[in-house]
Amino acid sequence: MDAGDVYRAYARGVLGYLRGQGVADPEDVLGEVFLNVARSLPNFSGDEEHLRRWVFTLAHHRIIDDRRRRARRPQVVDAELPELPAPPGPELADPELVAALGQLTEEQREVILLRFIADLSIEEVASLTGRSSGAIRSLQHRAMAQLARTMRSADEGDRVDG
Amino acid sequence: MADRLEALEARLRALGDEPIPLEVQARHLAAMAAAAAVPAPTPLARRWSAVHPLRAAAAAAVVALLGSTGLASAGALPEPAQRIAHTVLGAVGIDVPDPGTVERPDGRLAPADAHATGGTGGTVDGDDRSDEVPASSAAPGGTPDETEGIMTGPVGAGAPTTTPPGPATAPGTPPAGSDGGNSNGNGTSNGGGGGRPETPPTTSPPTTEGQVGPGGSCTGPPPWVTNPDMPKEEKDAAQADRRARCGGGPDS
Repeated sequence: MDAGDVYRAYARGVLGYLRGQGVADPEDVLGEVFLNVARSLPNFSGDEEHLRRWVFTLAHHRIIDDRRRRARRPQVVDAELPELPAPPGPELADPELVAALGQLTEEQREVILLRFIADLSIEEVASLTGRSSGAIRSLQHRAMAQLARTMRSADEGDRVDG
Repeated sequence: MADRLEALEARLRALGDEPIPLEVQARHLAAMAAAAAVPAPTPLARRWSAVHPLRAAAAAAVVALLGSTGLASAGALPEPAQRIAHTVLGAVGIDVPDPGTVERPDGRLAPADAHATGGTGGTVDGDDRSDEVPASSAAPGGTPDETEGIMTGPVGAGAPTTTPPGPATAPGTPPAGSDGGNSNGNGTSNGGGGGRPETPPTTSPPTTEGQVGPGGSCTGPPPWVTNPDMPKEEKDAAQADRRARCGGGPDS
């Protein structure tokens, strides 16, 4: 399996993970993640499960770097910006779900995305995030409940509006 | 509730299955191909750790050996170390200078202390004096001996230490088969019965291991054995000289 095959197998999942995490420019970050994959793939050894976990671990670390970089960057807003219409971005398959993910805490969102988009097991998520399996189960349970509430509220709001 | 959660899980999984625009895919794949063509630089620490400690030690030993051998060859080591190097490397056939010798202007080696102190012991034939040591530089006692042309002088004056002493051929003694004709102190033959033309004084290296007089060296056959035509007076003198210097009987 060469780097191109790895890209075709996992790039969609990584892009969904990056979007769910609210990364500002997910396609650029996706390119950086797979550049790392291409450089380091000759040194990788393991089966398909290991490969999936490795690729998402690279994406996870890349997101942490991205957040740290943005936290160091000073944000100077000394004047009110005129309101401009947002440029047309890529059409999201489920903008409602992405918005609901934004309501979760960072830890909850991390667990939900790694469990259902990266398709990692409870133990793998625990290992990747440095938490216990019990903590991951608890985070997942609360996150799903929160998501369900948010989505139901949104649905009810739509019905009232409609 | 369970149905709702299952539907939510399905929507989450679908989020990770959104298509990537083809132009974005092409850009990423091209960048990955270029990155894969250039090997990732190895961190310096990893490169150092890849050097096996034994290899590093062996390399250091080789460098140290070559370096010290080079310094020894140049005579640049401290005197004790240079002496050890001279002994050890000489045993394996590598010629390094002995700190006890210095190079003379003519390129030959001489004991350093001979130059420094003028020396006190040893005699060399007067012939050597004339062509190797200026008279003015001869040490006290370096004037020709009145009796047999023996110059008493510094051991090393004109004494190449790198040439082994000729035990049977005393300085000033012509080579065997020249019918005698011992050279005297002035470099002239004494005409020892052969009547041969004067033989240029030999420059056989004088020994540094002891005095050499008309009785010859204390080792090897005495001159009256190698020169049966030696006049009786000269033979007696040689025997007396040899007894005095070497002890033992007259034929020793």
